[in-house]
Amino acid sequence: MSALEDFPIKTPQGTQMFQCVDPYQPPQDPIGHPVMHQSAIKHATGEAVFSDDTPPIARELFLAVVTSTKAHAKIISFDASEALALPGVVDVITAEDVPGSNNHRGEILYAQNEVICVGQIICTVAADTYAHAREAAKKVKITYEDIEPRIITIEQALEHNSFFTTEKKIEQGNVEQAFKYVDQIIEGEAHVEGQEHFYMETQTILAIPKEEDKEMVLYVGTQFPSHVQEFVAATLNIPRSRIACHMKRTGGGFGGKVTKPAVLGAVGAVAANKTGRPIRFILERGDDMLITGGRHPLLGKYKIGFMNNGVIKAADVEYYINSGCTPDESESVIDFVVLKSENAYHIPNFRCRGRACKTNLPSNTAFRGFGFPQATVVVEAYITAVASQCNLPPEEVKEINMYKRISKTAYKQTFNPEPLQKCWKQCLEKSSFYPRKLAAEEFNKKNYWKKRGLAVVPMKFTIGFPVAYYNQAAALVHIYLDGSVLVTHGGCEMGQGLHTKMIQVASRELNIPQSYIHLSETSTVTVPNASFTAASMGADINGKAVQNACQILMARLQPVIRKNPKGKWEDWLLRTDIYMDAAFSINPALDIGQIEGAFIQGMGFYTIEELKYSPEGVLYSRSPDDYKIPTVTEIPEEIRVTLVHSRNPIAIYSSKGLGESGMFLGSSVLFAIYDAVTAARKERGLTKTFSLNSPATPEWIRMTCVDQFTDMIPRDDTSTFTPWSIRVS
Amino acid sequence: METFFFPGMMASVPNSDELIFFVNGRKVTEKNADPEVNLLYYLRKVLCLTGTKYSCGGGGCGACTVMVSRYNPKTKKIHHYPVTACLVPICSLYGAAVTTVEGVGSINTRIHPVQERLAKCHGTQCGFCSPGMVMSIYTLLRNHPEPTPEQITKALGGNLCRCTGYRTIVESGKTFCRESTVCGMKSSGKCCMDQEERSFVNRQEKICTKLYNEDEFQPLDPSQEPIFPPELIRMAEDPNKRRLTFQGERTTWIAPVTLNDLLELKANFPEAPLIMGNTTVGPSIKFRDEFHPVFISPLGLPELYFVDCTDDGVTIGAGYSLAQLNDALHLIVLEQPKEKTKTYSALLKHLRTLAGAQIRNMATLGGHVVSRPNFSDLNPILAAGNATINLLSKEGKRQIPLNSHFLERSPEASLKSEEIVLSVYIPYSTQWHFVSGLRLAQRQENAFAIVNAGMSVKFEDGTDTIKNLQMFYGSVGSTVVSASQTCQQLIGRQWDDQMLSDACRLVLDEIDIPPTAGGGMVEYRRTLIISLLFKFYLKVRIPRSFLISQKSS
Repeated sequence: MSALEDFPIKTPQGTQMFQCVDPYQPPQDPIGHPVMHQSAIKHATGEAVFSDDTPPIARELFLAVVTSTKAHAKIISFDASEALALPGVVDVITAEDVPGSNNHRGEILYAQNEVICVGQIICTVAADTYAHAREAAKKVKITYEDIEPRIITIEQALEHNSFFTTEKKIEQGNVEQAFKYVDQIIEGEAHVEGQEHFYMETQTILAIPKEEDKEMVLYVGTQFPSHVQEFVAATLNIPRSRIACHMKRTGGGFGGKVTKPAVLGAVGAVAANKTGRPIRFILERGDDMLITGGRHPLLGKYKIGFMNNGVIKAADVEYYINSGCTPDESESVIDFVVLKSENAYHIPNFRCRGRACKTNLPSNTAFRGFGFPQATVVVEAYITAVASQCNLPPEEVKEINMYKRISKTAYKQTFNPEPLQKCWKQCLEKSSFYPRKLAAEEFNKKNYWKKRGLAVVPMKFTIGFPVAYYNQAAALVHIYLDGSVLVTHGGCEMGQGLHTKMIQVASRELNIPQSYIHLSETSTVTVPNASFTAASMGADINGKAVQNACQILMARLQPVIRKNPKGKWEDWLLRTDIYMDAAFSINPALDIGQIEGAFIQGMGFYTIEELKYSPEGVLYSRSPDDYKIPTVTEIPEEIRVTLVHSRNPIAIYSSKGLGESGMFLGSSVLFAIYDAVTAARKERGLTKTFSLNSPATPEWIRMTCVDQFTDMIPRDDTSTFTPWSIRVS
Repeated sequence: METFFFPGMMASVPNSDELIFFVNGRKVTEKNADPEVNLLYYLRKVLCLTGTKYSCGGGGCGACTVMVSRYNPKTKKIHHYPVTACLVPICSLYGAAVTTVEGVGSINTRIHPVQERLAKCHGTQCGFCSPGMVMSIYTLLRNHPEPTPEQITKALGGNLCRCTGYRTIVESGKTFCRESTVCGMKSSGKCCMDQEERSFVNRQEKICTKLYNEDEFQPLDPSQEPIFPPELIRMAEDPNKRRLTFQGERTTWIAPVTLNDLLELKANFPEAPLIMGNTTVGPSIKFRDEFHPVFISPLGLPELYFVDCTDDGVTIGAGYSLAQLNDALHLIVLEQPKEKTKTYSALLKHLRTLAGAQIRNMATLGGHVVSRPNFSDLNPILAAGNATINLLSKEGKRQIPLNSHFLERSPEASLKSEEIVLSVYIPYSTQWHFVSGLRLAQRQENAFAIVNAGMSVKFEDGTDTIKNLQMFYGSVGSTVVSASQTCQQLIGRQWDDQMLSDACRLVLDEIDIPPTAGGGMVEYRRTLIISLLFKFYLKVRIPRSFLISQKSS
């Protein structure tokens, strides 16, 4: 009977709980209030200007890309004559037109002689309209000769010893010794496939060459303007001081606009430099998905030693990520994987090793969570496997092995698990975990074809970057004579509401209403050498910088204020107030928005988002038709978010960076599915632990719930044919 | 530029007509309307209305959603519907009024309640999908000023957002519902708008749940919406309408105004595609490099828009959009006894999740049927329900069955090149005839099925003996595939477990998905073939259980 009912489409709803603002906080002080995004009204009226909304610039040209159709090949011939003859076409730009470095930090701008992935840019076509550029791009003729080996998957990379870096390793205790004294040992592996950023605004670059001194101005949708500046300068071989990169806002980043806009910016700058005309370079969705890479696919292999009561004594884990064809940030990603992958569990004898595999796929890059959401699937997979071996519920094994007291982590940081324990307990209690678990079991007894699952996952997530200078920021605050204030800082606005928070900070520090404060854009001209806006630390580092700048200005104003103690702000006077150092969110609306958004993005990653590659390394998934991110019908019927507060004295106003952490919480859906699948398998007499991979697609679920129907279908001998698509993790 | 010479037409190529439409209440007269130019490009690059965003270019994300309004001279009604501007050729907009996010409201004029609430409910983050979200909700409100929460979700199904996780967006839309359910009373048992909650300051409890203040919201006042341009009403009612031709750089667009004119054109340009919503031809041109020198667009031709209910079924005009088809079927299902509407209910179920609201409002029944995509969600059901297609050409009328031969594209069962689809006839189901649609997709809504099916069984009256069985599968081959042999062999069998088991074996023999098949997921799709069959078996067995000695599975 349970097979018959369709899954209903329900309207989602939710509750959000957060700490109230202290009643004694001055009403004008916006810190802690759910202030609407600074640009929200403009977003909703369409008046918020994105790069490509800039009106036509005189003499501008549009750029279309020609990309490699081979994963690893020698370029035998290149013929652009037919393309050049088409109407509107102005020029075809190749590696030969790069005046400076065509290979900066290992990132190749235009392929030369050889291609190393499908989707690598070989040339660009500049024309008077995009339609003309695109038509012409189709007419560029390139012939190739395959080069061996062609490495697409992690398995193939291991076979060929193809890596970017040496092995990364973290170790504590004595793993080998510990394995000798445990009750049981399990070994297994978990595959986690990649993810496409699918920011709504694709990569956009406007490159405008100036008449004098080889200056160039760029407007780029990026999380890292100074990186764009660096790449363009190196590519054109001119000092960075002549390259200005502006960034007002971008339509989503999620890590995909940290490094890639620099490469694409340089590609566009070469065209602007060669033609001497402004270049508008907007990637089409299909090109963006093909060229710019995504989250690293990951393979985890584990050997776990544990006692029959569920206590894990020893873990030996190896991680491999599929980096694609250039270094990008893969070394940092594998660093993060190795460092953070213990998650919330304290395993006394712990060894974790990682390698970044070099393959012939488009180069993968930063993506919300930066390796953590992939690696922790492996962690939860072995925890769940241990639970299954011990015949214990997974949440019990999780709790047994979680950090309990202040201790040193495997990466040698002192960690106080009190907030973790608090969140865990509150979550179990407030979500009615155990009653709902019973209800699910009851449901599962009555329903043969439909199963319910429930999972809870703990998380310990460190933000920031283990390279100290990346955690620096600068801000520039102007106070004009009419009392209005212009704030500039090094962070980029991509939807997270960073600028809104910075205005809140400046409002508190200068003790003036938010309406006095304007924040226009981020630019390499106003704040040089700024770090990227990523790793959940945008508000932390830039907030401190804005605070610092405001405090310096306030100190300078003190003499004036003392002379005229009764004047208004416009007369340089301020009221004195007592500051309450509350441990809470600067803006709960924005933070809850980050958590919910990341959760849904994570849920998509772990369930329905599936990138398909051919065995030859061709990405099939290049549009929303064949890459499914969650829509309004996929989200939970009910979503409740509670900001549990704690003190975080090192951060701005004791807040916490949480842009990324919600991502992994989406895996609770993955493990709930696992739980439901386990129930289905049990009922069908299958009790053996089965491998858990991500994403848990409908396909995976169906084929894992073995029954008379899966037994009936004809199976193929995988050695006898080449499948349409392959797994790359 | 080289001009085309069209055989069969007047010797000289007619000059291009002026394209007239309205954008945000302003008249647009385009003297050089190019059939290859879409509305999104035109808005952003020609009219410099950049509020409408370009994100996927294939109608798959909703970032470019705008509202199109058309006046129907027959019903004297104005029809508002959402479209993805990236798929709308400007030439198809003759006589239409387009409303973009700029026309809904702006900071300098007045912010519309939809915009205000989306912003204040924190429904925007990066802001790139926001104009499209605004337009989807706005269009819904133009048609339903007090929508249900279900209508809100349905209206947003074609709009992707990568930042928010949607909850805030839905919530902003739900503030327009008659009974606002934004605070989730269901879970807490208490409304977040309760006075005591609002005055939290005086309470010990230091937990807040309110992220915005509903009291600030301006009320929605439908009487404040812009009126439909009277000039367009006059144009639509003009009895002397004539054929329009738009000559572009490489292509020509011809819009006939009478049925005869259409048939004449189809005879003269047998290769030219008929363009209605452009949801099939548009993507083929953009993503698969198809090229068509001539387009014929009978959009708005009154003869293609009708519902005709008779004693044995319903005939629906080929020009009906899938949204209109949905509404028409919905009415019939409400009016007619359940027994007669099994096919319609099956169609309605699939129409709910087929693409998003925009595409459902653009794609037409005729276009869907005749383009015969292998993943079609409707054709398998139509075939299982014994639908027929009414064709028309200069030679006259003809009826062909919407059956396996048609769906498998056998030439003798297809349209002749000079024929057009006039309408589709869908008969009522009967007491002993059961029809179902089944599908499984990566995502519930707005996703092609991994495998789908339309199945029907007819029993000998009052028994469970199979008199006729039909099974059509989508996404298992290059066309929709019929399991005709399996069905044939099961005639006369009882509807029992043994039959099911034999049916599974037979259908797996008949429908072969080779291991290398495009789209992959081969073993999964094989499993789905029989899983869907099993589901149909159960569906039919349940209401007939009184006839059958139950064997529990």
